[in-house]
Amino acid sequence: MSGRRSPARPLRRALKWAGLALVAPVVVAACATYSERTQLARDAAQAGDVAGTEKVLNKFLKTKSSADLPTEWKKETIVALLERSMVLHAKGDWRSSAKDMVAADKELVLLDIGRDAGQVGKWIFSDSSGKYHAPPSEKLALNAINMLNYVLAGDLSGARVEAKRFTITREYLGQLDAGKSAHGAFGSYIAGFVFERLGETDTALRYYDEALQEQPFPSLRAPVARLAARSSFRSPRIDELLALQPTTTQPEAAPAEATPPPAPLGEILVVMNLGRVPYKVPERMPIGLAVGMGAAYITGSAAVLERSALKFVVYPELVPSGALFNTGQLLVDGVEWPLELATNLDAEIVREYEALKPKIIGAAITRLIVRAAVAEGARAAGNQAKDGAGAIVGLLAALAAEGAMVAADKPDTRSWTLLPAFVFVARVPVAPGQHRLAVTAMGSGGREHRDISVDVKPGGFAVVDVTTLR
Amino acid sequence: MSTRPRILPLLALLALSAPLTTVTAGCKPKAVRGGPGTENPNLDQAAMSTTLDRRDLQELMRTNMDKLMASPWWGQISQAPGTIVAIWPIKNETSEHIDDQLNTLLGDMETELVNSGVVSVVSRERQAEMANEVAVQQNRSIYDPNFANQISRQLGAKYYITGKVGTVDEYFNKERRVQYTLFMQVIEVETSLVRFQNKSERSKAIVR
Repeated sequence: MSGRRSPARPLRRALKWAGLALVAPVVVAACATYSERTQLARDAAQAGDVAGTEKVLNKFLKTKSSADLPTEWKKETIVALLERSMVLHAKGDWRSSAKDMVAADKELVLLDIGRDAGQVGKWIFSDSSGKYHAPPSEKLALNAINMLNYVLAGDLSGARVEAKRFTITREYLGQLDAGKSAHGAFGSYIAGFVFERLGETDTALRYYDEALQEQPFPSLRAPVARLAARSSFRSPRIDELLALQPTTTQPEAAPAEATPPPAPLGEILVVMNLGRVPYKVPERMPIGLAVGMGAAYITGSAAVLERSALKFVVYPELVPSGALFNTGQLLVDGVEWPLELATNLDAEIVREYEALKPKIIGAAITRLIVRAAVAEGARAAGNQAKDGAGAIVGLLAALAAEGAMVAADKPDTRSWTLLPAFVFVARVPVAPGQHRLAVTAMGSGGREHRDISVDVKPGGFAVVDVTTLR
Repeated sequence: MSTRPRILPLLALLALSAPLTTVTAGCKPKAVRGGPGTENPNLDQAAMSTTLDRRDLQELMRTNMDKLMASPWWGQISQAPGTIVAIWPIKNETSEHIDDQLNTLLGDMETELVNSGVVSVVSRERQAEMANEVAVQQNRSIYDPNFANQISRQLGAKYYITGKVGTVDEYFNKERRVQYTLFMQVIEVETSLVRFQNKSERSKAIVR
């Protein structure tokens, strides 16, 4: 071993560590993503503090109260506004919730229009630098829940508009991927209810048929039979339902004395929105593993990554929400009625994410390649420094450039995190008058109980919504 | 040994590698006044979205009112001034929340009919109050023609004006177009016969 050491070596080592120390805090501090920044809102929702959730979101949106719409549409505004709309829905402030959803929907349409042809259905961007593009599950849920907002506010005309918007979105998604994304039985079910109550029989039947394509809703037997008597619209599913033996919609477990009273009956529609959907968090994956997963979607040469200081890819990973409730119980005047699972958004969002995961990983690696290439450029420029310090300056420049770009590059964890994971429906024929409902949300987190009283007019209806956000 | 000369290129590179910032000073939004007689006379001319704006409404109403006042029905009732007419809400069958705009359109129509001196118009506020009350009591839709007939009769109207607006909504090749069609009808309460009907159209789009 030579006894002579280059005088530059200790300096180089010191500068290298100094450079890393300089870059590391920047990388850590600047990387708070959407889901991290809205964690307090979900924490409050999990604790059952709806007002607290609303407060956090208003602060996030820079609005004084929920009566205000944001004045500036930034990258996270749409999705945060959707979060607030769900909180307002849970609070029973249907009008304000609808206002938020209409505003967010309008912005989403403009964003989709602004994208390149053929890209509208690709919500694969894994970095948060772009504008927000809602996945199919969120687009359909938006119109479905807003339809419910209008129904709950007693505005069937507004609900009709949302039904039409739901259909446009559903048909558009159906064209994109042969109908794989055009789910949303809940929206079709509520749209059927809206048109049934508007007296538009054929349209109501068509929507119920749409819902039946996805789920065998036993609660639709009576409404479909009623409507079919006044309409010539038929489909295999409608025929199948009509061919069944005449039945009351009374649950098997109901006692005999609870048989529905004679006409004119009223009806109670109960919607239970439970839990929260999975959401995204920034996650690291070793480059080797990531390249294996996203190889087909990588742009650029991965060889440049060999000199990168960072040996992992940061991407948005979907994680369970940890919500408390996933099922419920409904008693009407002391009699239990079955709740039907209309939409399992939890499963739909997981399915959407898993299908896109290779593209998301591929996009993350592509961004990593861009960073590494810029770092190499900085290294080359630094190497030209005089007085024999070129290598050190080059190394530091590369680290600084890569660090700065890593800091600016955040995985896109934006999603509508307060969407309910499970939507249940029940339809209960009742005699006109006052009725007592006992609704209980249940799950691993215990129970949440609500007592509700409704007044139903002869031949009329009442709609009850229970949204827990947890 | 002085290190200053070696640090200079490093600082330069650090500055270069930092994310670029956009200078936005001077772009703060401000409120302006527009319309005839203001500093922005053309402010209302540009389309801001695919929904119906005031200019669309005025033109749709103008088309319908011109046709209405040139119709045989108008000629007939002009012979007997004071005929009572009710104005029923326009049914929104579009994919846009334009109920407020439609109310404005009906308000403009009411103004024009009242000022014509030919017909007596039932107060829309009173009519809406009564219609909503009965609709809730009887669980009826206010757009049900039989219901409209029933309420108009109770209000003493001989005719009622109603209509619906629908859309064809399409996305294609980075663009979105919404075609609005407004149908207006005058219905005779006693017979339910259509005495006047007209269609006016307007398209709005987001193009590139």
